[in-house]
Amino acid sequence: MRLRIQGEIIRPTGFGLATDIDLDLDGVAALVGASGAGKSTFLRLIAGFEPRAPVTVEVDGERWQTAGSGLPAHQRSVGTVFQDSRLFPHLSARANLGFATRSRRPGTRLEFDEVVDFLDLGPLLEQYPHELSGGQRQRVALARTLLAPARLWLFDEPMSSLDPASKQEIAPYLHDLCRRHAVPIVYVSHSLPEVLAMADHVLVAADGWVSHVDSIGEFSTSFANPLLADEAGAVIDCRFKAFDSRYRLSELEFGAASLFVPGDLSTMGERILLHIPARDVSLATSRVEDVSILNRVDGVIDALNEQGESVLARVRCAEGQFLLARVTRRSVEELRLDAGVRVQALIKSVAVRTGAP
Amino acid sequence: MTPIDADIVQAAVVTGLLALVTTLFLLVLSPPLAWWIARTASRWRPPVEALVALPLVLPPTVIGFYLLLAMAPSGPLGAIAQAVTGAPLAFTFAGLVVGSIIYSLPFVTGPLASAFRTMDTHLLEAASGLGVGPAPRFLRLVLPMHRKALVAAGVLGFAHTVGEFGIVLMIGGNIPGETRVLSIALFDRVEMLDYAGAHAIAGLLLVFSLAVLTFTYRWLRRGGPA
Amino acid sequence: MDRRFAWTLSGIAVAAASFGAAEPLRVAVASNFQSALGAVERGFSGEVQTSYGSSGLLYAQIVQGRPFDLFLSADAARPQALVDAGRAKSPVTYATGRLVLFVNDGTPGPAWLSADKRIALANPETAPYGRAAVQTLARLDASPKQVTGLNVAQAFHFASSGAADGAFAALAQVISQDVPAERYWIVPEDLHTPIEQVAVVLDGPNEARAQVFLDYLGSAAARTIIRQAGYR
Repeated sequence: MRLRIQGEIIRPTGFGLATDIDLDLDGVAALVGASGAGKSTFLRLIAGFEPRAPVTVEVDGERWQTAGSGLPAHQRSVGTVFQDSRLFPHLSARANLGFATRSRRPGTRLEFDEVVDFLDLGPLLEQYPHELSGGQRQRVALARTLLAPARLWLFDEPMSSLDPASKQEIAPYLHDLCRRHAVPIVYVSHSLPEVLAMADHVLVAADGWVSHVDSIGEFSTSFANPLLADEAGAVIDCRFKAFDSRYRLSELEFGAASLFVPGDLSTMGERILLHIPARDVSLATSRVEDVSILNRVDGVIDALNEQGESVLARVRCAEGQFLLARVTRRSVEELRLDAGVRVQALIKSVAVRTGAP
Repeated sequence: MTPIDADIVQAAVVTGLLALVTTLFLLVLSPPLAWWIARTASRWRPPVEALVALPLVLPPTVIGFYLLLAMAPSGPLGAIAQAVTGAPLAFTFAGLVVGSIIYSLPFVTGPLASAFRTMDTHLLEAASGLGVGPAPRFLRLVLPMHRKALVAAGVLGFAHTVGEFGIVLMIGGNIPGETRVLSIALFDRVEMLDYAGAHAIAGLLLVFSLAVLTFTYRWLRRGGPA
Repeated sequence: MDRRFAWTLSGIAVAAASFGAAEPLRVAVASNFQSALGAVERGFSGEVQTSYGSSGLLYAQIVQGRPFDLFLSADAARPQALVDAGRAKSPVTYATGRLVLFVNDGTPGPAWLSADKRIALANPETAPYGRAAVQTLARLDASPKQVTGLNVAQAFHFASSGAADGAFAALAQVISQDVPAERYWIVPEDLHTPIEQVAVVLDGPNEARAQVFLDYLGSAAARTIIRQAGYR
């Protein structure tokens, strides 16, 4: 889906949002940024809830909005999940879903039973919103959006009130839906692991400007990344090389180095994205041979970023490929870590990203 | 002689019928009007709102005075009625219905507009985000969410129409069985020095109004979704 | 205490006392006689305070104790009721009303009263002009569609607004409204019982002054004015 958004909103309060995005959107686009940076406003623009904003919104060449006029929200085949559930309080969960299933706008229509089963709503259907917990309400709201015909889904932190277990279950499901039905998703997230796990594109909202990030790898290791925190990590682009059936390890090529990942990845295609959390990467200034850690990569420290107690080190391992390592300040001093120092990165864990392109 | 005679019964029937028909019309007219008033950013809102609220401040006789002119065969309403039905509007039940709708309009539209104003617009966005257009949004979301306000507004409109006097006085013509309502019958009884009959009618109206309002307030107080 | 405030208080007290001393004669007058009385009153030397209203309403107020000295009713029944109740004396017919048929279009007269006309009249149950109108219709054997106003004034307004085709009104009204003579027909008095307007002196401290005013109404000068206003 070709998504083009260009223009500027200035609210009476002084808050503004400007953007100029022209994006071939397939899969999941993560929208990240500090709170108040304009993420929700950006989604509202696409959904049609800012009809008077002088912003151009074009989807696959159709002009949905331009200065002074816009297609009303109900005629845009966009499904939105809001941070709050926005269930209709006078209707049961089933009747809430009925609003979606009776909708006649064009777009992909999901199976009622499939969505209800997956989100485990069967026992909740006859209940009213005030009888449901926050998490249950959000699941009903998610189902309601998924059941309305749509060409594009917008998720504004749809899982903020879900427990971690449900989140882990639902996120891949959404990703899978998006692929199976070729309905792209724009997804607001505050969680870097979530973004690194499933995003195909990254949009960053900062200081009232929303822009598209070219490379997720670069984004994940950039100190300008607004999500960089405890859960920082790198996304790296590898090539499948071989599968060692004796140890059941796949060997992936990463620059001049090799990385070993458990399991047979031969079916995943030639390009594989790995997510390597910074806290699982240690640095050594001399080459270490006799350790149990399989994955050891040579590199040069590119930059350091102090984050409270600890320091994030960005290590360049190959052209345009970076790792992040979280080290203590003491280690920085004792090992004299600084930009330009040659290091060996010891990688304790890697995760293969779901749904890599 | 019992104070409640056939004439009072007939006036009560006319009154009830008038209030019922008026309320039904108002429950169709008022919600969209109230919704528009509550939601629009149009510069026409203040004058329209003022027009709707006019019967609140204007003596009913003023409205009746102009309605009589408008309903005369040469007046705009009268000419329309003459063209459509072949009969003039003044001194008819239909004419009273028109007058009562105008007279009770603010009592139904006002409370509805304030109820609509407090509605969470996020729910409307959620509905339009599901592909639900403005008309079904109003019918399937706004109206059911305001059941209580609708009932309260309807009861208020009904009770207010029952108590109507000034307009009926001006445009009714006091025709038994057609335009003689209780409040007019009461006035006649006082003029005729029939105080027993006057007491019967006045008491009837008092008890009815009190009962209706008590019932409504109690019902509104009861819990449950709006 | 503020001295100016004290002065103001005593000023009010003086004014109130002097007001009480020169209390005007309080006269309750049926509305239809309003314009005629205005003209008659100018020839009277004493101070008169008039209250207008329908005879029924004024009667009810008198019964409830509103202080009036004289009651000029539009009918004979209510003054008689007050006399019967021992609250009034010396009933006298001060004016006799004349009924007219006022029409918007056509020539006023018995032939005008066809069944397709809508005619307004005063409430026959309560208003003498209404009763006279009903008697007239019966004598003429005419049955136009009828709408009823509270009183003869409203009946006239129903017609003059155009909402009704015509009205049985009072001669006094059409005269005070300068209605052209070809628009109304003075109904012969043999078609209905006389519309006698009776006055009574009400019991109270001012009976003597009330009687003086009543006598004045019967004087030749006052009778002329009353006749010119449309009464007999």
